[in-house]
Amino acid sequence: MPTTLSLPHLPSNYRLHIALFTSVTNAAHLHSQLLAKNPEYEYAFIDPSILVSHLQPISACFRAIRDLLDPDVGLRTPNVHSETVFSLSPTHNITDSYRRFGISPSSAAVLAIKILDTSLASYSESNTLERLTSIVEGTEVDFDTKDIRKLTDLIKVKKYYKLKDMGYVDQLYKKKGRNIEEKSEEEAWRDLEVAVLGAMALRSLV
Amino acid sequence: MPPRPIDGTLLKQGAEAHVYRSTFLLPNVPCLIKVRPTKPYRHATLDMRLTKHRCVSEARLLNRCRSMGVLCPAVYFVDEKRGEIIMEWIEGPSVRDFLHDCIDGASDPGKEEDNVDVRLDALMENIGQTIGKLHDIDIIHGDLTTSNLMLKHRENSGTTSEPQQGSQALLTADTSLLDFDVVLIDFGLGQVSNSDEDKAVDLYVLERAFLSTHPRATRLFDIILDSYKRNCLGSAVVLRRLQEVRLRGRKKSMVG
Repeated sequence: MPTTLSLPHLPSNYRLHIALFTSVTNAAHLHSQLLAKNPEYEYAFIDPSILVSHLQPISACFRAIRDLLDPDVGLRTPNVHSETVFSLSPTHNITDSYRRFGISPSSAAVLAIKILDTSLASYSESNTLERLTSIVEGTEVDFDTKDIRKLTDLIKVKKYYKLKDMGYVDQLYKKKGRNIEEKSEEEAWRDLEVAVLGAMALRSLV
Repeated sequence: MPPRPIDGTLLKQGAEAHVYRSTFLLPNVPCLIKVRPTKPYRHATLDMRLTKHRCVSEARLLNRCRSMGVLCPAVYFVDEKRGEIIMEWIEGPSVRDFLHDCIDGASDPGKEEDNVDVRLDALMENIGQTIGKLHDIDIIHGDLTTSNLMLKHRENSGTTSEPQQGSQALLTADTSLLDFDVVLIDFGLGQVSNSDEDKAVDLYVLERAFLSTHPRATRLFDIILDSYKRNCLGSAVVLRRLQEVRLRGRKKSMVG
């Protein structure tokens, strides 16, 4: 089942529909439709291997919708969906952000997000959900942190979000021969999650 | 920039910022929103630049600290034009509240004073360690007071089934202070610097704050310094500098 959300601090008529797919077979088709700017395929298609938690794509949507509604900021990409992919990036390079965080023709897993204004007359929840689950050909899995972390590519995440300084003090102390408590797996994931969210949040300040 | 109403409960209102409690993205993610409202008496352009600058520098410091491994609230979202930072919610009492309760508690005839002392010593040790770490990554807090140090229960300590709240919980006999982390908050006056002078002044500010609020503080602050000395890599030079700062006060340049 796709996840439906509306976010705090945003007008309640904006709703997110999110679905995560594995064993995807039509990524090349989806990718070509995005390049052709086909409005039928206006979704945020995200490569889940760069995700470390379910908050990360939702936070990108949050940024995208806020920029959309803020007359002083506005979107820097064609629509709110491409802006969502761009918002995952810690840098201002739009082309790079599509390439790194969006899907590629060979993607085997896809996170699809549709952002809609429910106050529009054309909005229909059942149609949207039906279309969302059929547009990607693959196996739908739950959109939660546990399933996302099975797909995470840590090397890519660390490279794209420039996390080489992560845990710097502990490494420094270890080098000096001190005993440093090993972090539990859960703590390490949590550190990674907040580091990624922080890198996304600070993009506008770079 | 037009002010926007914040969806959350107002917790504190200072000269510089308003602080709200709210949620980020999902109802189960509590967060703190720090807003620097516009000051109508300031020239609009200057006001915007100051607000933006302070907001940006605070967010950068928080992020740098957290990702390098010093505990502080994580940054979730920044809207520098409106002066808003959405950050992680830290549950727990401030060291200031905790110390007050401890000292009140110790004067109770029913409580064993030794027990409280042992715990306070452990806490001071922890504070010294945290400040040492902060200085080792060349960050100056700028406003080290006991209110800007929080105590957070360690999530995976596994001893408590339900989260305990408030400083009273920390005083109960079966809670060891070792299960608590010291978290630094409010980097509004912080900066990145590797100078011994700045680090010494940071310690001096904490010393003044300590001595003026807590009667038994001299001994406690000595434990902090001792722990800082053992844990911070560059502590020797900083502590020597601290002696000088004590003699002449915080301002070196005597300008302004």
